[in-house]
Amino acid sequence: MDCRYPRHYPPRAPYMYCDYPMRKEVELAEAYIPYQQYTISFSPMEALHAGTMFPELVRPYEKKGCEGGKGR
Amino acid sequence: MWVYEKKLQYPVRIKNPNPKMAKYIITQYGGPDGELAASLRYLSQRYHMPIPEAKGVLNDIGTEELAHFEIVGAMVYQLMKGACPEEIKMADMGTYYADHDNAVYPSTGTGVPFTAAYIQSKGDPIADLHEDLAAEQKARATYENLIKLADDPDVIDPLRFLREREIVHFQRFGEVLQKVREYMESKKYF
Amino acid sequence: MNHTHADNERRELLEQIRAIEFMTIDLNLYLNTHPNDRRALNEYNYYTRQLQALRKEYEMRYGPLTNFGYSLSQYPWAWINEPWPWEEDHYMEGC
Repeated sequence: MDCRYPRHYPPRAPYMYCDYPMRKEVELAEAYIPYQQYTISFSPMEALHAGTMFPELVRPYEKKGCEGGKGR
Repeated sequence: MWVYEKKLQYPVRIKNPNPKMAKYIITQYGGPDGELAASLRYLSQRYHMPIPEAKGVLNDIGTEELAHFEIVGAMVYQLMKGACPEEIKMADMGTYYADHDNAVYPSTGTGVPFTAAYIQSKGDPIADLHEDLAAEQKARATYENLIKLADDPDVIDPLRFLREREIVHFQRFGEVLQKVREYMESKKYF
Repeated sequence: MNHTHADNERRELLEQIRAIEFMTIDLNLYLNTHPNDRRALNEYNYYTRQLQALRKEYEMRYGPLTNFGYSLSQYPWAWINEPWPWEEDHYMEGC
């Protein structure tokens, strides 16, 4: 598989893991974070205001109001 | 060696002083999940990382955290600047004021001074990287709490930026964890 | 508090520097775990060149952006010129 230029967005799962050989299976008692593959980027000004140049890493946070004072 | 760049990584332009908000935010300056702790954690752990990718990530994220330490410091400074003792008293920040006036001091909002006890440097790269992943999540959660407590857009804007950086750092630490694990496994068999 | 025209120009240039530098930061962290990504590397070099040019322009107009031998200074020593980063836009009167 070509690891260098996957131009699709959003990136398809499972993520490709290129620099080291991909393990066949995940193992018990290990934590895994999928490898990011660079696809597209924001413009510099957009990136600064989003907090990242990678759209796929944006996790917006909207604050919720207090519903009846009983928490969320 | 570090070189100072005379600008903030993200601008802080708070027009209205708000000592109450300063009291909440200062925990990200000198508290358990704050930027100073993050920076010292990564910059101390980097010595025992086994592969160049891991050394690079800890070195560079540790450096970026210093820039975040400065952003949070600027926020506290601007929120406290121009606040009168009367307002500080109203904000329940009198105990802080007694010790520090309007100055910026690395502590929690309740006055617990910064301590290296907030961090670990275990000498075990896998254990250290798991701490780093957790640290990014705890900082993200803290920024979400702070965003919930804030209503001034001048305050919320940099908090959002800092929160998003925690997510990016988490991703990088996750990738490093995988690389370190692969490296250690390769050593086991050869 | 009113900002002068020159002050606004300075801040605009600084904002551009901030945005370009931010690309180099995010790409740098990415490259640390993806050292073989040629496209990211090319972009890193592209933004680094752009950043160098913008810094040079800023420093010729407003003085050093970095200390310890990374920027030249006019006379008198311009490194200590105000405002410092945490003072940007903040000239309110205290009590």
